Amino acid sequence: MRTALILIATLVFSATATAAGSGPEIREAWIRWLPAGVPMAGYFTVTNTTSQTMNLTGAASEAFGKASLHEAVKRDDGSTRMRPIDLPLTIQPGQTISFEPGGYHLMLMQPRRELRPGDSVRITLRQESGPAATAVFSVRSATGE
Amino acid sequence: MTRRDMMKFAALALSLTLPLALVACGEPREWRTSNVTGKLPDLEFRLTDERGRVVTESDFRDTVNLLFFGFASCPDICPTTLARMQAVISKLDPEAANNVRILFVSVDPRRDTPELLLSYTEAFGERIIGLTGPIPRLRDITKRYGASFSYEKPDESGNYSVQHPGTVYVFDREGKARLLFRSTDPLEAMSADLAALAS
Repeated sequence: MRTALILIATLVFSATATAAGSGPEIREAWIRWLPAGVPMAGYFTVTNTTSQTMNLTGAASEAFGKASLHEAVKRDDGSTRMRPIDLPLTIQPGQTISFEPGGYHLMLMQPRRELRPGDSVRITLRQESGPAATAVFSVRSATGE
Repeated sequence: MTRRDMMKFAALALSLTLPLALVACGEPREWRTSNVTGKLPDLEFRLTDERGRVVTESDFRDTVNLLFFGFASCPDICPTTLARMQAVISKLDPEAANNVRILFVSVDPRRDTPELLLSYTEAFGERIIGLTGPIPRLRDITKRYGASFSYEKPDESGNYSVQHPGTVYVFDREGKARLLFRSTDPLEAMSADLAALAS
């Protein structure tokens, strides 16, 4: 209950905080749609426009039961494995981190509603000590269009 | 015309026509992606397609086949690779593009049923065919191409990831292994090489 209250407070605060620009600044946010309830990937760039270090601790979305920060790691033998990013993910003042195909991505699981390319989904990024930020992600087709 | 003039003319004519003849034969070209001609076994498999039918490499004869191992619960690498391959093929002229297929072999038969594979590949286009099979058979086929896959530990909800090769294996219309397409290869390099095989 307390966590829910804190989350709600953070979201309310972040609605104004994003306008004031003190949460993480999220741009070019999109989701690659896939069918049949399989996990989808979310991509974006995130900039720390403040003078304090930001530590991202996680993500959440009303459209998905679970949202987590993952990365694709290439190994010497040419195989790839995906794993959760070691949290917190630190963004230095002025730094931009890119979540893009083949690198960092949001793993979005258990869609709560039917999604289609063309839809919009709100996703929130949380940080350790500071306002969270919510951005609107565009749902694109599987081929990224 | 002197004899020397005739020799010069012959030499000039040959130097202009011979390279054309070589290109027309599909002989050594400057491949822009990784050339593995003669280094990997021919395309060979016996798997179940996305309509539940047992298929072998002979069902894909006379097309250029791009073989990729992945799984449907892979939100980043697999869709990114399939999308990239579709982009490569779309750069070909329509006749050549019609001669190319992407064989998406799921190494996660527990979750990737033929029905799921059908929905999945349909999201990317008609040129992609989903295939899967019993795990021992999947082990054989990945081993055949010097690759492997493994299942990660499930989380508390039972979700697990699968480590798999990131490379796309390119087979010509005779089923011979010819090229490897990697995530670092530029789209136009892959298209140029694919055009040479698919035309």
